[in-house]
Amino acid sequence: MLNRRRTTRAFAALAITTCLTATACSSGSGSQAGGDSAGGVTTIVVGQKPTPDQAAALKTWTDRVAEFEKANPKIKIQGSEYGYDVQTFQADLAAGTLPTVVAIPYTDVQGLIARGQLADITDEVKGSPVGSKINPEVLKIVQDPSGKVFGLPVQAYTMSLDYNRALFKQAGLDPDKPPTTWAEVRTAAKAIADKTGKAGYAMMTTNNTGGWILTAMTYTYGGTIEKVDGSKTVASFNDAPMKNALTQLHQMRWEDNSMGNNFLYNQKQLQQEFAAGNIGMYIGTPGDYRDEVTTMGAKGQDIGVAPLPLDSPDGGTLTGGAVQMFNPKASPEQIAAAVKWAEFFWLKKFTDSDHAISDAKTANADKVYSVGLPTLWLFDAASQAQYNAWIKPYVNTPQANFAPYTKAAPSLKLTVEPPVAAQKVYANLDSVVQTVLTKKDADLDQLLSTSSKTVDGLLAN
Amino acid sequence: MLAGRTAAQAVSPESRRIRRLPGRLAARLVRWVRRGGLSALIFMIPLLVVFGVFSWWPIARGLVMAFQQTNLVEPAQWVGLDNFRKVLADPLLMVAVRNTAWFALLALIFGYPAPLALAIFVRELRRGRGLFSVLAYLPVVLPPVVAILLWRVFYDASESGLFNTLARAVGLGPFQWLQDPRSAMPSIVLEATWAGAGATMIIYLAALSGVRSDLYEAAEIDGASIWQRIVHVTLPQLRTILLITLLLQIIGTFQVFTEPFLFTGGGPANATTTILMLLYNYAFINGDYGGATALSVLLAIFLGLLSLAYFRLTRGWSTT
Repeated sequence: MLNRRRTTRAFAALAITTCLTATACSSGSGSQAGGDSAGGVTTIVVGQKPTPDQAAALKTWTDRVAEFEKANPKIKIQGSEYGYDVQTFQADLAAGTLPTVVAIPYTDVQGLIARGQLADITDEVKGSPVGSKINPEVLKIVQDPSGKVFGLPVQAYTMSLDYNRALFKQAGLDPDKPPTTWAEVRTAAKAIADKTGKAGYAMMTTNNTGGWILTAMTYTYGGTIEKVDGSKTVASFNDAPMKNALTQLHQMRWEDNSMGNNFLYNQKQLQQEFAAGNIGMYIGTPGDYRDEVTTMGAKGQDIGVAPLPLDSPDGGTLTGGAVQMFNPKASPEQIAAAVKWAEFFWLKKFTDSDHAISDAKTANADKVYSVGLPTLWLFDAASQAQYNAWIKPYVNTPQANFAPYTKAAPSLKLTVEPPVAAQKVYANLDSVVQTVLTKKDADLDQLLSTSSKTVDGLLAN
Repeated sequence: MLAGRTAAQAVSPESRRIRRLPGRLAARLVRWVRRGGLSALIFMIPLLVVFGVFSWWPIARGLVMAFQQTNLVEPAQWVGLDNFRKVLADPLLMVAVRNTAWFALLALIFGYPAPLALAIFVRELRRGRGLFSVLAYLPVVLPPVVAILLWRVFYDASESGLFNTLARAVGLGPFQWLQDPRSAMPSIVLEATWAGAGATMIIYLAALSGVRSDLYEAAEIDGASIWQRIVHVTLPQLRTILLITLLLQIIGTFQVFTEPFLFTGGGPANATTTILMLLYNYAFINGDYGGATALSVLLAIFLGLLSLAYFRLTRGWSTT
């Protein structure tokens, strides 16, 4: 009996060992860089291939691939519908299933750079005729403190005050003259809340978005979040600008009751409420228009976009953008090929009339893209006027509604996200914003002091 | 001489056994196959593969990763106990532990007796037992995400919100529900109890059907009320299953994630940040897999010790 047990155990152990070994071996096999280089031909996998329901975009993508491969016979493109997802990114990176090049949101860039999870493309960008012309202020989005470049910005914007023009009208406000200071925001929010019963102003507060928006608000008051001194970084927000921002929120919430009843919004939830016509104003981006109109049912005519209110001559506007990242496990040949592709597919449309027109035409035809949304131009002003003329026949967005933003955009002082551990800092500030909005007796000085000490601890590690 | 012979005799059979070993092994193998050992192993293989790939291997890798720092690009660095030190020094850890314990306590007080009461209620019904069982089980059928999104609407803090309208009808409210740090966790427990009671109720109903009816008859003859029958017959008869469901509930509540993640994202002001939410943030928001796995190892050790203590404490109470 004992022997039989031993034999069974031996077989079980053998089976387990075999399974584990097989698993271990399988995890080490396969492409680790989303492509390969063989026989002088470099194969790369490119993300964001349009899905079959986007027929026009898919056709354009296929044509572009053929055009690119014809011009670059040593590069082979494999398409992937992969899109960045914060919850699966790490697993894909570990498993080697990440494409060679794919878009990532701007807010995650600095965290990925700090963890060494993006490929360094400094030489490729600086040596390229297109990449080297990118506005240096915009390029800061993808640079580490030493100036190395870890991604290719293909679109840039500044944060904006997005507002519901229909609610403005109902509240007796002029939708063509949105608020330009925080005092005006407060007055408008109260008018909307009193006259329409909707939230005059609302704010994202969860999944680190509360810290993100509070940072944007603090910048408009002339404040900062972090102070970098050599190799040491400390929190620098325990001062008047952030306190002013929090005081503004506290007054709108508890004195005016103009912020509605929900203080736990993430980005998408807030956009949905805004699209449903339940929110008068919020801090977002000009690009929010697209999702709100094409997938959330908002009327384009009701959405207005204005620059962020500024309450200080030192006030800055937080920037953002769409960034193409490159797989850190890819070979130098693949990185070079992928940068070439990203510039061809994502940037050439800004400098080449054929690409600009066919891209705008396709976006218009598929109805899931909004053509003519305000952006922060990546290159010089002359090229912007030329590009706007090319795409004019295909614009499907109400340009007059964006006028307050587009008029002010060129003169805005641009600011970037906190350079060190931005997401951790935002997570901490989420709690500060939520406390102000859910506790009437919140002690702002105490909150800022405690949060500043905690962030100092985070930055020291 | 005698000693020499004995020694020779002692060695000789041993060598013969060694020489016969392959033959014996082969015979044993044949016997093992004939008795169904091979079939059992073949049937076990899929299970072993699934457990190996999806459970044991990740557990082993997680354990190793708790002592490493990795960005999943370059080779991982051994950092000893640094990840554990970092996690234990995190000021949010104590907040998360307190919140998780608060959730567990509320779930124990309100969530644990609910399915038992439901099961006894359904069992006592003379008619409509099937209908009530279905109604009680219905929330389990709803996908958790759908149920939570539905309850988010119910918890609308405005005066026109569903629960606030109901509360107003009896002269209460309006309440802030999820929007107030004090009421957010009880609100989550309420939904979790509603969502989970049906599944446990089915277990209790099955166990109740195994209670001998003559015990109830004897109690009735002795003039026992319904309450006395529950206390003196039902509960003692169910105590083994009650102890197991209690342990499962405690382990489950310490791993609560979906509800606070979808309801509040851990807010307001960290009032619903649980240990698993903190772990999630370590891994997916901060990309710190070392910290995340160190925290999960600490949680596993704690739950293991808790289960051990629980079994030791309740050993005498069980019927088996």
